[in-house]
Amino acid sequence: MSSGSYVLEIEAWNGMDAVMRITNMARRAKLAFNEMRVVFNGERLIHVELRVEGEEFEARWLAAKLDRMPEVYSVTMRREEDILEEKLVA
Amino acid sequence: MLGRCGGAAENGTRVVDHAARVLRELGVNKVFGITGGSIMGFFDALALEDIEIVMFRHEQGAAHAADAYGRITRRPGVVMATSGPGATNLVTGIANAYFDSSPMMAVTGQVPTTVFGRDAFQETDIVGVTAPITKFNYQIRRPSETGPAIRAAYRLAYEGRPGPTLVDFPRDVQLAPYSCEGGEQAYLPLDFSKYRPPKPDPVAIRKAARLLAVASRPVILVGNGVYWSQAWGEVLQLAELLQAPVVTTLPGKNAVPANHPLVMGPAGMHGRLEADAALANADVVLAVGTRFSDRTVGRFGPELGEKKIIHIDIDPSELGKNVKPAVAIRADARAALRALLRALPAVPRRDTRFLEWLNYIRRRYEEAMEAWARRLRKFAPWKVLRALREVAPPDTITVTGVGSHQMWAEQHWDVLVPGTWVTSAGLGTMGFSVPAALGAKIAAPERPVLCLDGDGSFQMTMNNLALVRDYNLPVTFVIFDNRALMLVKHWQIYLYDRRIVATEYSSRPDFAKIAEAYDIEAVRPSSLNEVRKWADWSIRNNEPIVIIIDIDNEEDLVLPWVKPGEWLTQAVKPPGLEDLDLVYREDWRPPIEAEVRAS
Ligand SMILES: Cc1ncc(C[n+]2csc(CCOP(=O)(O)OP(=O)(O)O)c2C)c(N)n1
Ligand SMILES: [Mg+2]
Repeated sequence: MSSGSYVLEIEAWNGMDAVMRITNMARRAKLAFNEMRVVFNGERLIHVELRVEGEEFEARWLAAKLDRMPEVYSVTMRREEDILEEKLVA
Repeated sequence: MLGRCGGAAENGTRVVDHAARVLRELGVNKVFGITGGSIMGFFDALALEDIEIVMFRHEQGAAHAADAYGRITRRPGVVMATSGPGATNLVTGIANAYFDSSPMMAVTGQVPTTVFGRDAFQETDIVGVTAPITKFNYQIRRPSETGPAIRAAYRLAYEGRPGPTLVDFPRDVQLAPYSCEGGEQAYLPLDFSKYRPPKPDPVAIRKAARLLAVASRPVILVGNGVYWSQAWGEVLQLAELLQAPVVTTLPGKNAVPANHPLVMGPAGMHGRLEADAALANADVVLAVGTRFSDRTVGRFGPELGEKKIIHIDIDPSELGKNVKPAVAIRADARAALRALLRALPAVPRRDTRFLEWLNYIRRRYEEAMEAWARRLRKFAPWKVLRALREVAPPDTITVTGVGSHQMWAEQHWDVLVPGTWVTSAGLGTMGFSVPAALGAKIAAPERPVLCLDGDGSFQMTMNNLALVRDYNLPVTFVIFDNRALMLVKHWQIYLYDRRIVATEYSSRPDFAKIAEAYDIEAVRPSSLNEVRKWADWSIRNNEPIVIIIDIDNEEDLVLPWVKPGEWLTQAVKPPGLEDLDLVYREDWRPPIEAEVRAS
């Protein structure tokens, strides 16, 4: 099973309450958390960036669970390496 | 955008009047709960809207009732409580609904927004408390959010995979004047589309069909998702086509009729022997609408890893969560099974020896249980269940508590009509049974409701018996009275060297006197005939009764039983079956009848 560093980007609605519900879910994943950034905008929309380390399977589990929440509009998951590579190419 | 806001709101009254009107429009005509300072405004509005408030004696009971009501009616049960202790008393009921994917909506009163976060009297952050046990929860902060929040929470409770939702409703918002200038949004800006299951992927369906067609011993594992999708017809059709045995999870017992010859019953920690044997020896498992709980499979590896698993579920986060499937199909169970039926080629006639072997196990198992029953000093719980089944009409709704009695019912209560089995499976909540039975009776007053409870479970919520006469809810209550927390004592006997710690109760209270206090007939049968007689009396006359079954807590050991962490074939078997091997051998031949009897 592969493991590595992943970045989950989450678009959601309902401000701090959504952060709380997302965090509640993330706590249950067997991953190491390196960073969590949240940007709020006035319409209660939030953008969350979650940098995690661990099994790919576990990161996928978290992404799938987050995607089940009705206040979550989208979840993307990418390998940290792929993001770096994209930046280098750019 | 909803352009109009009729009813009480039109009269320019309170936000709660609008909220009550919204509930009415959703088809809610009764709510379960207990009042208090922070919810009385809403109760007042409900009464004005002619929505009945069913007064439970503890909020936990109201929540379990709403959960069961939702399971039976397939629409969310609605429960309401005041802020603080009222809201926190709901927590167990909400968690129960969450872990059994049951449609339910809770509305809690909250202190006024002006004092939020100041530890006001009866302030609890119930949104924070229930976030991990709700499909969605939301605190209304402005009058204009009220309609959208209630509609969204109600809809989310049943859309896709059902689950509980909660709306927290501050008192000042409740009592504010409602104005609907400019109309209001129908819903909060949530993404509902993700709950609509996609059409089953044809590539995955073809792959699954190929696996099933070439399987030597395919087995269908049914979860309660099959009930929600109403797919039992398709399950049985597929089973017949493949000549495949069907096993279920504990909640999945609700989804297929037990008297179909291919239905082997529930598998797992407290499953039936033939079902454990079927699942353990399958080469291909078609799992439908189940989350693959450790309770069903004993353990996740390595045996399970050797099987080819086809997993159909409406919830994509379940696919691959506990086991890695060879084929994952995200779809509504019925749609996926129909597609599979279409895709399956004419299946070559399979060797029926595996089925014969399972039926041989079943026969040996039944004979052993009969012999065991004859040796018991007091009632054999499984014989009591069989006696009750004889007099209960097929559509009787059966509700259980949690403990050994529930496991006996898992193994020996035959669910004849899908949708009639209500149990607390995921959370295993003692105290579920009495209020859930009341909720079921409210949902289906024309059908008999049988409540199979343990003495320990019963004592946790028996205060709700008051509703039996208050609301005319004639349930047949059967207490498996072993004066013990038997399922835990069972573990102590097997896993803790028989050290019996805090699992035996005194003879208090007298359940007959408890029943009497609530104006309910109580009996202590001394034979199976009397059990039949009293249950029949209660069901025929639509009269409540408490039937107290005397059970010896030294003898009440639920077997077969798969110890935690062990594999299904290692089940501890009932006495007399020591020679029975649950590992299938290709060269197995049916023994000659005389040999069976001799053994
Ligand atoms: C609320 C709650 N507390 C504790 C438990 C742990 N537990 C599981 S079964 C059981 C015993 C149940 O006793 P009873 O209802 O009398 O049923 P029995 O096992 O005796 O048939 C206990 C204590 C639980 N499941 N739920
Ligand atoms: Mg007991």
